[in-house]
Amino acid sequence: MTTPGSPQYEGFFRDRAASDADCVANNGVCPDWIAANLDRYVDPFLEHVWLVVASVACGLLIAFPLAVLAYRRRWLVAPIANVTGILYTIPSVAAFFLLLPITGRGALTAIVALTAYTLLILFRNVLEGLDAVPDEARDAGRGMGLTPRQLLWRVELPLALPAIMAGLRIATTTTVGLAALAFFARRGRTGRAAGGRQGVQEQRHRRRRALRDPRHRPRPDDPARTARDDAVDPCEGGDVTATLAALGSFGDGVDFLVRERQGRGGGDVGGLGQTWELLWGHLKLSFAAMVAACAVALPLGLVLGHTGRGGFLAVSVANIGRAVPSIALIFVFFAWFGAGFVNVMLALALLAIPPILTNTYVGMREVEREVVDAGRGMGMGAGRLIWSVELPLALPLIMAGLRVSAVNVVATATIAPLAGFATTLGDPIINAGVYGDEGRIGAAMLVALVAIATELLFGLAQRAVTPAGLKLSRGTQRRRLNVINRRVPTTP
Amino acid sequence: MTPADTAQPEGPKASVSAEPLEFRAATKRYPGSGVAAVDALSLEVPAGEICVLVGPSGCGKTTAMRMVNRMIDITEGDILLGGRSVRDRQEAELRRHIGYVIQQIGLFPHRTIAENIATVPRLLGWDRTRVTARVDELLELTGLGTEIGGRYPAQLSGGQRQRVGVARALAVDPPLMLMDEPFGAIDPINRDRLQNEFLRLQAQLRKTIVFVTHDIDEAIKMGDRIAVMREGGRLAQYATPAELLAHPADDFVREFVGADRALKRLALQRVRDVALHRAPLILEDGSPADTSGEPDIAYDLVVDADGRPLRWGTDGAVHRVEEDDTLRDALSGLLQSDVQYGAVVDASGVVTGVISIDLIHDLVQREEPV
Repeated sequence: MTTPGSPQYEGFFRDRAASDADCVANNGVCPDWIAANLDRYVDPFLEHVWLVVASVACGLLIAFPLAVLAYRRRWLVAPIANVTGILYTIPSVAAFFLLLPITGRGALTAIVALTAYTLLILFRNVLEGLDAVPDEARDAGRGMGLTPRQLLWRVELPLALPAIMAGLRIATTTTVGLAALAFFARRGRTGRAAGGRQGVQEQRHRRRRALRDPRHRPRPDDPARTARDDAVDPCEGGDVTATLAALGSFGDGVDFLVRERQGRGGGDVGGLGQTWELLWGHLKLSFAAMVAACAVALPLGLVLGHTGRGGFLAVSVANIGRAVPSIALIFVFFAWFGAGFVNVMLALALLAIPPILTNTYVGMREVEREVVDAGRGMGMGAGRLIWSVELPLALPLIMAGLRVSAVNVVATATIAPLAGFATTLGDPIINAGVYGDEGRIGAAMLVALVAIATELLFGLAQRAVTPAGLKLSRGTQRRRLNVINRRVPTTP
Repeated sequence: MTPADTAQPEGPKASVSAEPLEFRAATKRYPGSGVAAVDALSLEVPAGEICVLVGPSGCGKTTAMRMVNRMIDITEGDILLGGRSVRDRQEAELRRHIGYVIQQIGLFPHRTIAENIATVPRLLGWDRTRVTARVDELLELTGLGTEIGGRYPAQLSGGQRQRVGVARALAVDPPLMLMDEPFGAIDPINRDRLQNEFLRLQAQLRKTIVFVTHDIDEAIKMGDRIAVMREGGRLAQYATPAELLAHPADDFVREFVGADRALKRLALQRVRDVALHRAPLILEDGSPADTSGEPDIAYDLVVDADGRPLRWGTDGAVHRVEEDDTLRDALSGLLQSDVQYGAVVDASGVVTGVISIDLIHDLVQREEPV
């Protein structure tokens, strides 16, 4: 396994930046370069696979017993679902850096973080699978004298297997996407180059050279003065006060958010002013992306769901959307259309569409047929039927879709600086050279908070839009325990 | 007859009388299927009567019903409501004036009971006070009580939901109601109660009703006329319940109505409707109590001064049969008491005639030549 320090790993960035920049700059995607350097992808690929397999295995090892336990002791379902749900919400980039002070640099951090993401999916699918075991099968087993353990292994688990496998599949595709971000966890404070940043501007090349070789570091009057500078030990430049020292790195992070300090490349960083600026940029970008996504996905989902046509399309979009890693999508967009707010926003919107579309479609389809039939039979036209019967009943699921998308967008907006839109909370995380490690930790904490707040906010909204008559009818345990809220389809 | 499509502004009581319904060789054929779902169905339902479509599953009875309000399009033939083809009317407008009740009822779970009932009046643009008054009226009419109006469907029992479904269908007093196994999902005891309740309601409202069921007993109980349908959407027989039981058109109908159709027929007739035997009535002192008519049995029936039966001859115990009983119940009573004759009495206990097992036997035989 190649480590960040090996020559080849380093060369991956240098060669491209130095010799093939024109190709990348002029054509965006550069197949020739990829073909010529295919061998350079081998080691990262293997590492990627290893990370995914290890994480999903760990996830199953934890989630499976939890699910079986919760299956027997129902009161455990809500707490476990909530905790794993919060873990699932924390943006991966932030999670990697929040873990760094605890687990150190390297594969361990990546695996811990990735495992955390699989828990919710695996837990829920195992539990749903067990719950879906027909009562009569269970009853017959008990009637024939199977002990609870025998019942579990011989009846319930075999019957739940399809759902469990579906969970593994979803967890794996999700992890494949997230693992692409694991290089952050590998980099640590002496980070190699600027993540996966692809240089298209001469300024960037200079910065990159500067990072690798102190001789190229810009002088204070250099136009590239804002360049990221990793060479200085963060502890020297930090203006750490004792008040937050007790919290260690996390205290430093909070300190960064509220107090301005000298950045490593010169210039002031941190402080409430800048924090607000970054937060505002982050929210603006996320909001714009959500609005764009809704404008496309909601009408489409409503119409498809009403007519019942295009179910294949809606489900396919969802599966593809889930399988395509967000970072890959961002980079493809970046490569084709260049940098800028609108392009990043569109990439995020594209990311947000699948959950909204699928949930809107499924929500509409799940409105009981006899209710729709009764509406039609009483002479409601299509528009009225959608607006006053189907939409209100589908609203909880639609909100759940919005919630998934919003959390996803907020999380992914963190890596927007990689694609040329720097005013998000991701900037301090990605460009620790400028902001310092405490900036990175601080921003990571804030991003995690924003994501969790988004999750909770949409959760409340979801409750608020659920029609009163519907809340009353949700007597079944599955629904009451929130299991259906963030829908992870268990069928293809 | 008032046309169905005028939402009358006078008030909630504004009543539209029932309209006759006629199927004219109505046919439904699904593309890609050789067999018709409904094959040239022709029948007439007089205004104010309940026509029950009955048959095994897959016989097209629900399809036939849904063609009436064009939930399913008619392939060939026509259906006339009040003499007007349903194909000439706009779908939504047509449906708003046809009551529609389905087995699962399909109440809107996010709307209150009052809002559910008010669906069609609102679609027709009734003003608020008129809607409220009508909703309250219907809640009373169906025996639900107005206090239930603010609740949600999830808070109601199955029987209550069923009544709400009927109330919702009656909201604009439509001239025709379509009911698809409306009592299918209800337990037998409650079903019986709801059926009786509905028949009482119908006696009052006199709607034209197309009622779909797969249960021949329900069909016999509810129907003024019964259309028995068979596979391939063909009409096997269209007749009154008594006619259907007495003269099944073919083996299919005979089998469908069941081996106990003799008993079912008896259940349709009440004791008071048949020609009873007359026994010589004498008072306790031996003098004849009643001289009108010629007695056709040889046993003396002793009655008191008011005409209530006391005993047969000198010591025979009298088995009494209420004249409102069905013949089936009367027969059952006679068999159970192990007697040949029963004294038929009216509500005040006065004897009106004598019934015998032979008489019932003759009734069955006379109407059904073997």
